[in-house]
Amino acid sequence: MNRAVEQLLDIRSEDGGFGPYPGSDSRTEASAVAALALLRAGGPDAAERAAAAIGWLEARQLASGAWPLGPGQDTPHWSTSLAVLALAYAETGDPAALAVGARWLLEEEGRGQPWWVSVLYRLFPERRNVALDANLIGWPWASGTFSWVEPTSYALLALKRVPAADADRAAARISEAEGLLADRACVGGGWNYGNRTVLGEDLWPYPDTTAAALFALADRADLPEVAAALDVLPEMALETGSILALGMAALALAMHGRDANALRERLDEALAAWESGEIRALAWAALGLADTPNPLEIPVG
Amino acid sequence: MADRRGFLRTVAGGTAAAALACGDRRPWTDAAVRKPPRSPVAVLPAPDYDETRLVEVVRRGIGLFDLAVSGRRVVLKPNLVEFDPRGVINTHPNLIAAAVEAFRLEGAADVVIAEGPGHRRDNEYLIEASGLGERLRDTGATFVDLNHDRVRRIELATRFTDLGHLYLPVTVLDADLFVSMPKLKTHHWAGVTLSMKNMFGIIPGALYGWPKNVLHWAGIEQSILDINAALTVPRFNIVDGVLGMEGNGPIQGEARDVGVLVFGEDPVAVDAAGAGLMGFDPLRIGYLSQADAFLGNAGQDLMDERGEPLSRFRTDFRVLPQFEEMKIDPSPAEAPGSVAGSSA
Repeated sequence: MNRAVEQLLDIRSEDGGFGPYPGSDSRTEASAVAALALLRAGGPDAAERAAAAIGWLEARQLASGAWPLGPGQDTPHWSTSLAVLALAYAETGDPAALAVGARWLLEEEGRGQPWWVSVLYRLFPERRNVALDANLIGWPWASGTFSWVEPTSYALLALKRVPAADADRAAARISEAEGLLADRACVGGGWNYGNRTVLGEDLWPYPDTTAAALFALADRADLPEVAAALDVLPEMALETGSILALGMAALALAMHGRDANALRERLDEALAAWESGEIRALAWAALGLADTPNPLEIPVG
Repeated sequence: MADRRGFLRTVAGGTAAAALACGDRRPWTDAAVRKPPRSPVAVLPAPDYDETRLVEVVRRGIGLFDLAVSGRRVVLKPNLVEFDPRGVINTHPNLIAAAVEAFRLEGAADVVIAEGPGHRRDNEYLIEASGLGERLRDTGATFVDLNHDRVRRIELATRFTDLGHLYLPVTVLDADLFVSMPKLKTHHWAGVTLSMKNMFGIIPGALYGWPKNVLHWAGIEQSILDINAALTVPRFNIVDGVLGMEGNGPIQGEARDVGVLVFGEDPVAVDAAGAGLMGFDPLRIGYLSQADAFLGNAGQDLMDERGEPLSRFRTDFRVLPQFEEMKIDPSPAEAPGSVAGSSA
């Protein structure tokens, strides 16, 4: 077990889940990423180690198939993708729960721009403030709002990992979401939250969102945006230096067959000095340090 | 084609029209009205970020107002939206640390720093890179991540947006004194960003996304009004105008030296003063013009200047072309082409 896993085990909530910070109420995102990390730590005790977090997730799925933000806060449902990924990796739960989760993801859509705005921008392109194709639909943070890079990346990955019953619809959504990520890539490579240029000025990428997009595009090495992101990610993560950036970037590089050792060494150092902080970051750090089978790997074929 | 101000008028008019159609005359109810008869505002010189001096300036600023601080829980909300080593995006960490120290010296029982960054989700990076981490360790102050705080549902007494309610962090709602600490900046959508726009940072990203996307769909200026009207907690505002940002703010503009801190309890008046410092006519800024009707005083006639005269520090900030018409009209002597305004 790496040191991040040991720290995770020390700070889990009494209810089996994980909150955003030690001592806070358990929520779906932190519980799902922590469950993935505890499972990936491997060894004969892996399933038992993660059982409480997986159980927490299984007990919270809504009738719609989505997951709530956390107890007492049903919406928004953006962390559903991460819960689906955790349950898929655990392989212990009810297959029907996974199927209904995947079906919910298939139905959830970001909001496009009204038709008249599309017409306006076609007639007057100089009025467009942001350089993106708002007609490409991915996944939003909150239902009924615009699609952004991070929720789209996790939903895309979940649909690639857990085939939905409606394969044609899933293929169409995957294709469109890949197009959205390509469209939102920053000039020079990588991704931020989802805006590459505002009012003619290029915005810069972030390591964590770049890594998330690279997870989802691990099977699309043919895309030039993937190659560009892989080129900028190592330096960006090392410069950032946070355990979240280093952990996610190390995992993304490994998924694309790149050398992640420099990032892992730096991550190990950072963790030794890390005081208590965001549990999500700690869980991604644990995932980035592990060398057991990758829970986010996209099945071939 | 309609210009930006025309668009804002249309949107505001549309909201008001919708309210009228529902039988109301205005997009707010009496419960939202907090406009005081007059609003004191203080502009105090602060030439640099020397922390010892800043503690004194902040204490002087606090002392100019009748604030209940002793024994209270004070929550400071700086602007920490993004980091760029070349830029002046965020409230300076030395000012935040100075405010912690100043409120403690004034007898506060507890002072915490709270923010919900709107672009990045990597708080460890933002806090460390911006220099706030070191200052947190020095002061022993706690940082609360408002993006993931517990929330309470607040029904809105205003209808500038169609949101109807907001989920707001309990750290903010339960503060004895809530202090907005924005940076003096231009803003590429709203014209300026000050105490009131800084409140976007209290909206929890876990519920509303990164960026605070729901608010963008609902309308940025309309959201500024609804959020600020929803906050009934005792408030104070300290604007970091030591170095401001001009041009394409709030992220990609350039530093502009102004050398002041602005203080006040009425966020509308403080923002009006801040806008005036940057060379804007506050009543030409959409959200301030609306807020002046019910939430506070944006007009100079109802503002009591304490400390230094604002005019002494007024600086002509460079703005994007669409905001030129919000600037104070140059006097005939200063107008381009006049003898006095000519650089020839």
